[in-house]
Amino acid sequence: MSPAPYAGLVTRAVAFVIDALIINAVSVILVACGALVLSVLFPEGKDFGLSGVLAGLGTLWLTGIVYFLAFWTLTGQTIGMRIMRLRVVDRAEGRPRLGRSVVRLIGMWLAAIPFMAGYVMILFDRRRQGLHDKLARTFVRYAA
Amino acid sequence: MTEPAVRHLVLGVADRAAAVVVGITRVALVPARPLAALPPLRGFASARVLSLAASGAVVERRLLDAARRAVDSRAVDELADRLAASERAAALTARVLAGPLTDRIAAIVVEHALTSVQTEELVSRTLERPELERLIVVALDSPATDRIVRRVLASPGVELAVTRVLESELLDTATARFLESDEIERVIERIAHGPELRAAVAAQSAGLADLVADEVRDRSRSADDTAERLARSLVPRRWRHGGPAGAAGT
Repeated sequence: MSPAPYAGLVTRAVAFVIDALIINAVSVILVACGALVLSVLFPEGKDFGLSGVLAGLGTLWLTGIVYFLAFWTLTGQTIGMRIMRLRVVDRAEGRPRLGRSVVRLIGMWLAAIPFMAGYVMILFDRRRQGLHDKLARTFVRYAA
Repeated sequence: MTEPAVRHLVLGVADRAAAVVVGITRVALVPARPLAALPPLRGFASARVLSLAASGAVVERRLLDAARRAVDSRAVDELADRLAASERAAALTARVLAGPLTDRIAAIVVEHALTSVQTEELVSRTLERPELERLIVVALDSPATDRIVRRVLASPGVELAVTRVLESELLDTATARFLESDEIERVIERIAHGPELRAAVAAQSAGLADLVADEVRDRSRSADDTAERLARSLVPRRWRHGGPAGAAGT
């Protein structure tokens, strides 16, 4: 049986938007829970200033890291990829291991830095690989 | 008189005639029973009973045929046509329906007649009679019934009657009472909490979500190819890598 075609930029972008929505929703819930706990600990209403903002951003980042690494490594699909029927695979067509997933995640940030040029690569690459796919030697295919 | 009343009249006459025949037969059999029980006459009587039963079956069949012929007859059709087309009948119906009497009669019927024990017994006894069932089957199977019902429904009198009923205060009151009743609340509650309804709603929602997801997937996949074609057309040919990406994995 021949492998499924490689997934294109638009479908992957839609999946990423769904993932971003989920990560943001989870982060907001976590931050709200943290704020509730702090409101009990400091009933007089302590102002955390910059540290509070950083804690919120840190929660968002951490949620994103855990989300992508856990889903890629354990199932080869995030929730957004599952909805869009996509799958990330390594060269052996299996799920990427944790090390490869970490490299892929770092590659995602690097790909975004030069005006998303790392993602635009998907439009021109024969195997529809972005910079992060090239670095981690992974591919995204349409799932059956 | 409306068209269904004519049909009912014919059926009523047939029913009464049958009842009279049965009554006369019963009275005639009263002195015959003890005589038939005597030993010398027993054999003869049983043979006569079988013969009479056979005759009775023939009579019944003839009565049913006569009823069917009466319902299907052209005369009944013509009478129904004439009644449906008659302006006088329509005017009379309109006058009766427009009067305050209709509401009062309807209220009395609802309040007393329909709820009385006698009515219940009468309806129950009438419905249990096999003759009624046979007559109903004959009447319903008849093409004349279909024609008459169609004509009745198309007549202005029926339209007026339906309008009158829909506009009547009685219907409003009955509907309000029905909606306010505890029973309807319980029924709605039961339906709303029923596992069947929940399963149906869940299946419907899941089906809709799947449908939307499928549509988005199809569109995004075709957008993948379109975006690539557009992007590749913007750069010089020598910068491009290989052939079309969509087919690369296959």
